[in-house]
Amino acid sequence: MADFKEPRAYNSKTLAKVFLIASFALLVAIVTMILHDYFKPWKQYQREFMTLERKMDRVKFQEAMSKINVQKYNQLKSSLAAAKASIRSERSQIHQDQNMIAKYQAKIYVVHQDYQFKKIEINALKWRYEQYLIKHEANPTLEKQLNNLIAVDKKLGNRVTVLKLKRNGYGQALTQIYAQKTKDQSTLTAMLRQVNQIKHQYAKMGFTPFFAFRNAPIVNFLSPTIKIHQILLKNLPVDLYFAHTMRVDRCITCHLAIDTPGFENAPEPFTTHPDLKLFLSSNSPHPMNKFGCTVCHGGVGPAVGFISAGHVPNSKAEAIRWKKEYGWHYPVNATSHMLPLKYAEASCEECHGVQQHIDFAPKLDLGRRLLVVRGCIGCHKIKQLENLPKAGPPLIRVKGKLTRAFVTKWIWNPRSFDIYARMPSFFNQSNNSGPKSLPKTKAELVSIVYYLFHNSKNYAPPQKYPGYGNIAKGKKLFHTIGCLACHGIADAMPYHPEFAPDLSDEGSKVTASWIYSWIRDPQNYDPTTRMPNMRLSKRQAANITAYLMSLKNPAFEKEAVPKASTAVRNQMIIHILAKNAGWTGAKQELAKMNSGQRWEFLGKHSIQKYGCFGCHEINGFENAQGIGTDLTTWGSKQLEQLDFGLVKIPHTRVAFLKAKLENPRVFDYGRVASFNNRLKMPNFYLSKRDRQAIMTAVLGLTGNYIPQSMQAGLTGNGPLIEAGDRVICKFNCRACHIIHDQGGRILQYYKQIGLDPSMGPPNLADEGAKVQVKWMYNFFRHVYPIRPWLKIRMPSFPWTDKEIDAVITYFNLRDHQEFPFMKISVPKLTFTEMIQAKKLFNQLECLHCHIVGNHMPKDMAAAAPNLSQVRYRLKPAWILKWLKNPNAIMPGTRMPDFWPNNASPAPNILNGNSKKQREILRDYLYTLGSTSAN
Amino acid sequence: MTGKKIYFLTLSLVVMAIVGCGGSSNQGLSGSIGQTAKPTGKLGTAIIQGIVMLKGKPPVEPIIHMGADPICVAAHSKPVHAQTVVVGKNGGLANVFVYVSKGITGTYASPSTPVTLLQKGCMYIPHVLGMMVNQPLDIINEDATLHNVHAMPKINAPFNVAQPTQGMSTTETFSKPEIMIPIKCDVHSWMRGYIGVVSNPFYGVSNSMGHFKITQLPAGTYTLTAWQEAYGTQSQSITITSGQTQGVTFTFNSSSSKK
Repeated sequence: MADFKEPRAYNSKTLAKVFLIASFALLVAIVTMILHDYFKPWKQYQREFMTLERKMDRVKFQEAMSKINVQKYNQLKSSLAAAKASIRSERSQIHQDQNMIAKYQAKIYVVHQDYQFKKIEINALKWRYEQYLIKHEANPTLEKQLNNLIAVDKKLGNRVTVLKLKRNGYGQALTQIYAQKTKDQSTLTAMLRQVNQIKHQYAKMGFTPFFAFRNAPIVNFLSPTIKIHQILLKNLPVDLYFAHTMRVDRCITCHLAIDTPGFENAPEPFTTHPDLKLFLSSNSPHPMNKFGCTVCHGGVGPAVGFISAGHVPNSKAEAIRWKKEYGWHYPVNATSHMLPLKYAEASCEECHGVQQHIDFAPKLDLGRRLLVVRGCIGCHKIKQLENLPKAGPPLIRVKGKLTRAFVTKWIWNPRSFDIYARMPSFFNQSNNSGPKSLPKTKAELVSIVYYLFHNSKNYAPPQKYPGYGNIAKGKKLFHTIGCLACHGIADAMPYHPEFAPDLSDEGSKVTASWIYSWIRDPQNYDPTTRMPNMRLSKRQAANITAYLMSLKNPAFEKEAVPKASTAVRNQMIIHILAKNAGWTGAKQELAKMNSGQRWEFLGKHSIQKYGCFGCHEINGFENAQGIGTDLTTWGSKQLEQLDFGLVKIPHTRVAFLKAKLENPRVFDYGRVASFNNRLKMPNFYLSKRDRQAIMTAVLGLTGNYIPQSMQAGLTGNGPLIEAGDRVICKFNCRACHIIHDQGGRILQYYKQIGLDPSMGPPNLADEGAKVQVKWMYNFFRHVYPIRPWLKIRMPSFPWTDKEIDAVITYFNLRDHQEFPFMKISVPKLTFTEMIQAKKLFNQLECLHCHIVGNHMPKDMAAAAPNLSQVRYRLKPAWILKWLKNPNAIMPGTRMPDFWPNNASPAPNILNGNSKKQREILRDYLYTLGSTSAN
Repeated sequence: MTGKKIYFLTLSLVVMAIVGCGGSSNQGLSGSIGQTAKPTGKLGTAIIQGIVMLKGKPPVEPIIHMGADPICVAAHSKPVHAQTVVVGKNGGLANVFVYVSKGITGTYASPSTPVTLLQKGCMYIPHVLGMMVNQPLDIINEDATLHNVHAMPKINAPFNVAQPTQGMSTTETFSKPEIMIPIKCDVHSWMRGYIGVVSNPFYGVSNSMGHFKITQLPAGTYTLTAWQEAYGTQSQSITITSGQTQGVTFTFNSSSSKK
């Protein structure tokens, strides 16, 4: 370079260096960018997946190949070769045939043309002739001409047909020569179909030069095969800071085989979804293109990075593994976090929250049941779970049921009486068992009991226990009649239902007369109770009473009743009153009260403080509101709104909930708070299973916006079905009955003691299609034994007409009956049909098991329902279905298949026509028991 | 300078294209027809001749009360005992299903000759039955009363067929091996039978003296398993050479009831 010496403000040599360095840096930056883009993790996953898919295809190909029958394949090959050879040998014949066909084709063409032309001539002549006819003139020449032409045309037509037949003859000969080859070829194609499909698919993908070009850096903006895959969900919007925007899920960019069966054992992220029947596949109720991923799993749909998508591990071990493998850390910046898999069912609540019973999400279903049964909703409002019965018994007449000593000891420590106590512990907790707090809690305890008994209405059991109860008989009856559907008891363990209180120590709790009166007529003590009437005779009730009274808890009975100090009580009252009246005013007010008033004052205050009325009806608290936080949208509560206190746990909703449920007072740890300002939630001592279930249910309460059209139970018959299911859940019908594949929990006990499940409560499969509406109504009103041989008994429920109506509607709609569910028409049998039906009825030995009227079967162990009920109990269409295949309606039923594979067991009747036989048998059943028959 | 830049870019492009394609070579599909199909199983000349014994005092089997169905009563001149544990005079245990549970290679064609399960005198004859998969099972009602044959398998498809008339016959098959399938009659609650379904012809049921025989076994080492309704299963290993007749003894203990 020439050395110019010009007056410049810069040195061009230095500048050139600067440019050189800068451009080099730019180059490096560009290359780095391109490389960074090219090696993005999701792109790497897609490349990896291609290799995996090809590997799978190779395995599939091998499998498909190996399935082909060698012998058949070889036979086919040689047969095909032979066919080809024979075709070759007959080449001259084929040639000849082909020639003949061509020849005839030509002839047909010519004759056919003539034939068509003649038709035109006929038409022209016809018109001319018709002109004469209109004028009523005769023209015999024209008429003759016309007739001649028609005759000629007909001849030509015949000739065409003849020629065509001849041509077809040669055609058939040709087809015959080729027949074997065509047949073999199509069989071969069918045999190799799967193999060829895989081959075709395999050829389409692969790391070809074209593939490399399409996905090469820089060019790959044109039409890459490695690209982001996404699902757009207009119907499930995302709540993004005050606005609803379309949901975009890009999870399938990496989870490439999530909806493809066959990748169950592939490494993550290529694993197939574990439940394709329920999710993702196009014929499942939740197809992928309609529901996407994040509506269930949570997380950030549009993100394609492992951390930015909001992945959250399921366990500590998984967190450690993720840290090591993916450099994972808690996705603090993600707008939404995925639910750890063990709580994934929580999301089902978003769309299914309206439903009473979520069959496919057992954990969530249990959690929701526990929220009700354990009384969570007594204090915490949850909009989806409103207007449900209180979890605890009413205390309006507590004086007539329990003693003060029992109630005091019970509230003080419910678990010392019964480890299955559903009543939680308010006292002896981590934040109120210190030496300063203990006397105060005792004062609260004693005052609460004083209030309850002081305000209790009088009650005396109306029926006195007659005293002749037999413990052993009572035990047997208790275990067989159906008490175990709802109540747990120690001597039926490990089977232990939790719907109603555990009765293992009942003898230390109530009096014999109280139990006796209660089981004879539960609504007498508590008009609102769901406890049904078991229609026990006096003796049966006495036996059960004797049994329950024999179950004592001596350790609890020996326990001392906690005592309170009046000085502490007074101090506490002053503290409370001082808030409004000041210290001197408070002391003056206290002085005005006598001892009873003081206990009552503190009792009322304590009941208000702990919210006892959330679960119990208490006189004086009829309109009190639950004292807990509203949980309706807790699942989307901002973390800043949760008080983690000084407890060192990760600041996540899951961790908070877990700590809170493990010890509800935990967040008071290390904190300075006055006695009345400490956390009050009682300890439920939840098992791990129950805690996780409740967590699942609470985490699902997000309040996220879901359009009505996407919510279950809101469209069509949904609300009617849910209304019925609400009654079914409220009265625990599924404890005994299997209703649409769910329930029958008592059968676990049958299994435990080795009892035949067919001796259990009937399966209510297809019940709506089975029984008549009128019968169902009457049955609920006046229950009678349909299967007298069963030990377990259908109770009489205290249902209103509205509740019965809801249940009837539920069954009929679930089983696709048309409103108003009343269509019943049975054809009348003719005289001869009647004779044949009777013959069939006898020949099939229906009476061997079925009761008819007063006629009992030979062996009551094999008894089946009374057929004279058919007339007013069953629907005719159902009977045909039942007779055809009982096992399809009720798996495991004792009713055998009389027409297996539609073959008749009585070929002598109606020519063995199975369908007709079932029909006349059905019609005959409707005549049984009526006055008109016989 | 610019020329060099393009040169660099092209170079990196080529490098990346190679990286993109490298690693996984374009392997073709391979596999030959019928390659991995299991070979047809062979028959041999070895014989297992065994006995099943019961140690200890056999339990007293209760008498079955058939009074509920007069036709059942009429079929027997002597009282009938339950058949849960049937012991011969020599202490041999009857109705034990013995089969080769491990060591068989290859597949065996199912015979088309049916096995028969009789309902006679309101009892199942035989009480324990062995058969091969897809082998026809003829179930015949020899009584002039209603029976239903209610099979309660866990793996195979269940069936429950009524046979209201004497001489009625039904043919069923089981498509998968299953040890054991209980059979009951819901009409006569005492009627119980068991069917063992296996995929080879090497099985036997002990007779009233506890004897059983498995023939045509190829030489090899096998696991032999015996199943008894009340006492569960027992297994033992056995090695056998061609043409040999090997004795085997299974001993169940009467105090080891499985329930």
